[in-house]
Amino acid sequence: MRQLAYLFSDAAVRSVKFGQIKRDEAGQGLQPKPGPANPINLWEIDMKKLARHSALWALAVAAFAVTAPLATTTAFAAEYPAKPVTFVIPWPAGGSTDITGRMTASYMSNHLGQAIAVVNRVGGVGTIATRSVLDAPKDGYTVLVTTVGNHVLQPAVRDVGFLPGDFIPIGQISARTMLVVAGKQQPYSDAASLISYAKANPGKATFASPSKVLPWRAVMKFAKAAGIKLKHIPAKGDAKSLPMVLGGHVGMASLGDVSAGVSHIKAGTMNAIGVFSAERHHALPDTPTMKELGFDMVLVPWTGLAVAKGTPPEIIKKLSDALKATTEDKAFLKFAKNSGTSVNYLDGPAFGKIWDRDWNTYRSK
Amino acid sequence: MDFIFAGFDQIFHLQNILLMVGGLVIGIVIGAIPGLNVPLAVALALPFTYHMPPLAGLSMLIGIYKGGTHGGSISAILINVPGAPAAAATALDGYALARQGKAGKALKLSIYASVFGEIVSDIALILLAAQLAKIATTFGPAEFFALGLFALTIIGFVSGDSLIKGVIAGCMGLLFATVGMDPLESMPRMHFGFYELTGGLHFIAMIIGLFAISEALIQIENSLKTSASRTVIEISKKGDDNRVTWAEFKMVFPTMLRSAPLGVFIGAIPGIGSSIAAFLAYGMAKNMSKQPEMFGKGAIEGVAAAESANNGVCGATFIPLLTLGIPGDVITAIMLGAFMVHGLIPGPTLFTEQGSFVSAFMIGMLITSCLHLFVALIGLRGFIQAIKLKRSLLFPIVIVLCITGTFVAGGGQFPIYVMLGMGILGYLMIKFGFPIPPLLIGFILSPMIEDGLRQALLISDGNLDIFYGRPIAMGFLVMTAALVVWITWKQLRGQSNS
Repeated sequence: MRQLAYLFSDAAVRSVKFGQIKRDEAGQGLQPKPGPANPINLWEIDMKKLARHSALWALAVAAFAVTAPLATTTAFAAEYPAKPVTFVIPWPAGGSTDITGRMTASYMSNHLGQAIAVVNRVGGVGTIATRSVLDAPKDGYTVLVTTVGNHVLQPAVRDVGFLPGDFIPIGQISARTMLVVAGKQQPYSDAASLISYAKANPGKATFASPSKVLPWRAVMKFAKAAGIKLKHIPAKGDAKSLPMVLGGHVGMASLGDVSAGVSHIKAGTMNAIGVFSAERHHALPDTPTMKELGFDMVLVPWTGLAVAKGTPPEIIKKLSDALKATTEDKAFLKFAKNSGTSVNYLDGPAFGKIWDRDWNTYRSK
Repeated sequence: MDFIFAGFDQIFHLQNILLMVGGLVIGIVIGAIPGLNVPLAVALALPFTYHMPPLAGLSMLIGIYKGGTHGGSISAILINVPGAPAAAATALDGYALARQGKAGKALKLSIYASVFGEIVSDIALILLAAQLAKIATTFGPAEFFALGLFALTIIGFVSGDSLIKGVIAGCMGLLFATVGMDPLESMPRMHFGFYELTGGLHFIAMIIGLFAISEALIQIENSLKTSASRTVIEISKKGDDNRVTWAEFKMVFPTMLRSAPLGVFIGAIPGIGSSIAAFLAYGMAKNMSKQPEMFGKGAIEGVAAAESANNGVCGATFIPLLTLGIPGDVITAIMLGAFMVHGLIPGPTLFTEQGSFVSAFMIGMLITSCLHLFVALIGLRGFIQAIKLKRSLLFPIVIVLCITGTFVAGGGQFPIYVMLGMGILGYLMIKFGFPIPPLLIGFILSPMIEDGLRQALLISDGNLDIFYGRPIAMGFLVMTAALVVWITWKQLRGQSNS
C-alpha cells in the first residue's frame, strides 16, 4: 500500500508544480492585471485562446487548470504538512544517496503524516538541485537530501550561487566510509608499500576519482601528510575509475563508498590501501583506517536533510521530530542494514556543527 | 554449466513471470510514447522494487529495460519520432518503409530483430560473461578515445545526400556536449551565466526537441498544406506489406547475425550505449549491402541492423555490472540500486556468494526475451490503430507528452526551454537539408573522446606513445583513417559523376 500511496503522491506533487508554472506564465503573459492568479480566470483566458485549436489542447489546459487551485493553496505553518512534501535528491537514481534518501522518505512519511515524493535533479556536481531548493517557496514542502559534496565542498571551491549557511540543518541521516583501492598488478598493495614506491618514483603512482569531490580531497591530503606525490587522473565516478584500475590503466581509485570496492577486495582483484573513517568498516575488518596508519585524518561523507533559510521554526521542528522518529524506527533500521547504509543520526544543531567543521576544512587549502 | 540450473526453481514463480510481462508492457508503451523514456520509467519503478524480493523487482525492471529499448522503434517507424535515442537509426529506414504503406512489415521486423538481439545478448551473458569482462577492462582511456573517433565515422553513413552538411551537424553535436561541467576538472564552462546550464544540455530534453518537436513542427506545416493526407501514413491493405516474408527474412538474417554480436560487444564495454551500437550496425549493414543506395529509402536491412544491435546491448550491459560491479549504461546504473538495496553487491564475489541468485537472474533475462516476442506482437495491433488518428489530433498529443516527459525527466522548467529551442533548431536543420542523426552521434561521443584523450595524455605526461604502443587503440585509429579516406573518395567520385 505504501508504494501505491507513494506513486500517487509523486504524481500529485508533479502536477502541482505544473500548475505553478502555468500560473506563472499566465501572470506574466496572458493575464492583463498583475497579482495572484485566479484559477477560474486562468481557465477562461486559456480556453478563449485555445478554443480554435483541437479539443485535446483544451483538455490539456483543463488538466492544468484543475491542478492550479492546489498550487494556490497557501500552506500555513500550523497545518503543516497539508500536502505532500518533496525530497530533492541532487544525485542520480540508484546511487547511494538516492537509496538513503528514498528509504528515509518512505519511512518518514509515516511519522510526518503526509506522503513524501522524491525527485532526482542531477547536474552541476549536485549544485543545480541544491540551488533549486533555495528558489522554491520557503514553506517546508521542499526538502533537500544533502551531502557533503554538493553542500559544502562545491561552494568551498567555486562560486555556485549559495553557501552552506543558506540552509537550515534538519538532521544527519547517515555517514559513509571512503576507501582507496589499488589494482593487483601494481607494485604496491598497502599504505606502507605505496609510500615507499611513491618516494622512489615521484608522480608515478596514479589514482582515479572525480575532481574536487571528497574522495579526491582525501587522497590529496593523505599524499601531503605522507610526503609523497601522487598523480590524479580525473574520472567521472566510481563506475569510470574502477575499470581503469582493473585494467591497470591507473594505479588506484579513491571511492566515495566502500560498497563499490568490497567485492573486489574479497575476490582479490584489488588491494585495499585504507579507509578514511574513524573506525574500521565491518565489511572490511582487515583494512586499516588512516588514523591507524599514522595519519590523523578522519573524512566522512554524510547525508542529511536541510531546508532553505527562512522556513518557519514550527515547520522545522515538525520535520526534525519526524526525522528523529524515523531513525529510531526498527523497520527503517532493518532496511538500512540490508542495504549497507550506516545510519548515524545527528540532530539539527549537531549537523550544523559538522557543516561548519567541514567548511573550515575545505576552505583551508 | 551446473550453476545455471541452480536458479530455475527461484525464477519460475508466477509472480516473477507476471512482473516480467508487466515490465515489458510498461517498457514498450513508455518506449513507444515520444517524450516518455526508459531511464525515467526505470527510475520511477525502482522505488517499488525496494520493497519486493530482489528477483521479483529485477524481473520487472528487466522487462521495462528490454521492452523500452525496442518500444522506441515503434514511434520511430510510425511517425518518424524515435521514442528512445537508440531508435534514431531505426527511423532512417523504418519511417521510409511506413510511408510506402509497409508499417506492419517494418514493425514486425523490428520485433524479430530486437528479440533476436536480446537472445544473443542473454546467451553471451550466460556463457561468456567472464571473458567479455576481461576484454572490457583492457579498454583504457587511449582505447576509448580511439573507439570514439572510429565511431564518429558513422556520420559518413547517415548523412544522407550531403556529407559536408552531415559533418557540420556532427560538429554541432560535439560542441553542444561541451556545455556544462568540464568532465575532468569539475568546473563549469559554456553556461553563459545560467546556473541550470552547469549541468549541461539535458540529454533527454535535447533528444525530444531534436526528434519529436521538430517532426511535430514539420507535420503541422504539412497539415496546413491542403493537399496533405489527414493521417501521417497510410497502411497498405496488401498482406505481404504487413508481414516479413520468408525470402526477406533470409535476406536480412545475415545482417542480424552480424549486428547482434556487435551490440553485445558494445554493451560489454561500459559507457558506450545502445545508440552508438545501433548506428555502428547501421553503418556496417549499409557498407556490406548489395544495394547501399536503398538505405534511407526503406531498406529492411537498415531496420534489422539497428534493432538487433540496440537490443543486443541490453543483456550485455549486465556483464560489467554482474562481474565487475560496474554499470554499463544509464539504465543499469539505476538498476544497481535494486541490487544494493537488498545487500546484493555486484562484483566478482556475487557469483561465488550468490550463485543461485545470479543464475536465476540470467535465466530471467532469457525468459523475458522470449515473452517479449509475444507481448510485442500482441501489442502491435494497438499501435497500428493509434496511427489511424488524424495528424491534427496526433501531434498535439505528442507535443503535450513531450513537455510533460521533459519536465518530469529534467526535474524543472529549464529543460523545457532547452527542448523547445532544440525543436526549432531541428526544424530548421530539416528545412535546410541538414541530417539530425550526426548531431546525436557527435553529442554522445563527444565526452568519450574528450575524456579519453585528456585522461590518456595525463597518464602519459603528454606523450603520444600511449596511442602508438597499444594494439587496440592503434587498430581503431588506423581503421578510422582508412574509413575517412574511403568515404571522402567515394563522395568525390560521386560528385564528379554527377
